[in-house]
Amino acid sequence: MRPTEGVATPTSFLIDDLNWIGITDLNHIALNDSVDSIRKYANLNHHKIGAVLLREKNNDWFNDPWYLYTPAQEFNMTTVGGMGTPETKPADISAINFDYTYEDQVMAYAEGNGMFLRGGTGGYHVGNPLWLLDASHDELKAFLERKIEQDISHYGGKVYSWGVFNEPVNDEGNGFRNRQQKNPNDPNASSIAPYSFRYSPFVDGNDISLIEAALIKARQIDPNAMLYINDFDNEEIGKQKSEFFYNFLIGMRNRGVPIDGGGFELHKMYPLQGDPAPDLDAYLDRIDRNLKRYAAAGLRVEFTEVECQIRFDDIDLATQAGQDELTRRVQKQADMYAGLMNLAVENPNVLSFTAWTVADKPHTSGFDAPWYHFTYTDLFLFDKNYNPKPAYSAVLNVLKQQ
Amino acid sequence: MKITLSRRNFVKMALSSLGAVLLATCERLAKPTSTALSTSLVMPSTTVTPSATVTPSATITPQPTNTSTPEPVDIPIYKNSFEGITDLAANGITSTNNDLRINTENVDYQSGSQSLEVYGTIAAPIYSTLTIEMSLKSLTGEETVDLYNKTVGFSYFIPADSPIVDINLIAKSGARAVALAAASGFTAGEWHYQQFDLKNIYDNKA
Repeated sequence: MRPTEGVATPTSFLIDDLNWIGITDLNHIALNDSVDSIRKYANLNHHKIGAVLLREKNNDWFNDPWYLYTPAQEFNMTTVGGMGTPETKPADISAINFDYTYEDQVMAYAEGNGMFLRGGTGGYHVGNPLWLLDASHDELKAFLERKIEQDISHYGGKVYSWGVFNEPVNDEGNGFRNRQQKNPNDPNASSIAPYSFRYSPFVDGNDISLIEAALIKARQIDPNAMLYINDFDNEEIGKQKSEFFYNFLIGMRNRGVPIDGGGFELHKMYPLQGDPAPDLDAYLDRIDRNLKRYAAAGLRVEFTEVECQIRFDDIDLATQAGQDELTRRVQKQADMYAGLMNLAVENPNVLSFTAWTVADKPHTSGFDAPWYHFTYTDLFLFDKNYNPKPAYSAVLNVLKQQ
Repeated sequence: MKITLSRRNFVKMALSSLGAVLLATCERLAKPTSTALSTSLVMPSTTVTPSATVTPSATITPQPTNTSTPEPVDIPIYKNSFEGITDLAANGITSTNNDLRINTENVDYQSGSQSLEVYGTIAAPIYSTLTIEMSLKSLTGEETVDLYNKTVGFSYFIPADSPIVDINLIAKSGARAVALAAASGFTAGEWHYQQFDLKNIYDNKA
């Protein structure tokens, strides 16, 4: 209830994070080399370290200059992918024109700021128009060939590696997302996965011939680009999904399918999930051993969507104990980022490290954790005001010690 | 110096010639008029706040000693989370009509360990304000800063049940003032972060 006129009322207000930014051309940012940055040490030691530039319907961060300034100053790589597929079925699938409007913005930004580019093409199990979900084998093959040809040609050698398929392995890690799993009544079905997240039109049972054809097509279009399959929960040796994914890649390579390695997404959270929750050092050790297994097999790895979300819903930030636990988790987040970066720079077969995005903003996680809709989000190297977090300092220290 | 310029140039001149930015909350108990502020004064200091981040690419321009308006300095990026400050006045942060303090208990999550609080009593006849004045000279080391093409942002918190309805960002020099941006319609009792594209605001007369 607001006071009526004439009533003197004691009150207060608080401010924080006063800032301004005024850079005329965000595609050609004058970088500040006089200060330490991840980019500085990545370039010095020939690493590729970046962040995905997300664009969401309710979060058009391209209107936020800090969102573009920060990755150019701090990283030397970003990612293009997910080029738009027409919502309505075209008369001739082999002549589809894809929408590159947004991705061209990203490419101009990366090129102008001297950043490496990774790319994503081929097949996804989410975000497809209905006509594609219900397409026949021949239509899907025509779609994949057209898409790969268009994507790779459009970016004409500017993308050094392509994720040719995304998340083909099911969550249990015992098979593929595939056409046999069509279930519009699945309680988890949504607008981006109307036939459930277990469904992919591109695999029929265990028939992965369309994935293999996509890789062959990609190599034909750009013989110099690295070709990857991207997935999550595939980083720890000994885990069911990790083993399935590894054997999937090895099997294709042994059949002569052009595959250079695997993308480890690394959407993680702290405390780590599991019963009991795994120890961080043991977790990192299992990744290390997996990376060395890939190296021994001649396969490369890229860390493609790294995040570490801190869980908030089980601590009370209004208490000192809650604050202490938060401090501990923030440090663990830093330890996880540093540990992953250390693995990336110490294992020569790891070609890149990409965070899922730049800074903590609402709805930026790559997964839907139970606390996802909690008030706070805390996942990345920079906070929501683009200030570096302890995780940033930890990653920077790893790079500086090289 | 009398300035009669186009709107665009006025904004640039006005901003560049002003000595301080000011944050003010306004209680609007009667029908609003075009002026949402009452009084505010500037008490610039010469001490640069240690937490300010100024890009080294900014050009340091020698300041003239006469009374003409100096050419504004472009400082492309600037951040200040008020960390490490113990003496507000020495850092160019003052208030002419209220009390100020560093608050370590109510800090926007992930915004360090300190926020800046102004507190007092709103007299509330029609308009009254709580104000914080910050000296650009102290914040940036420059006499004049060109804010024209800048996107300005800040976090703010209005306590629940507060009569405050607006928070304004104002550039001010002596008796002259230009309202840069205003936030309203916020949910009290929560931290908010808001950005204002000043060039867009003034070019489009938003």
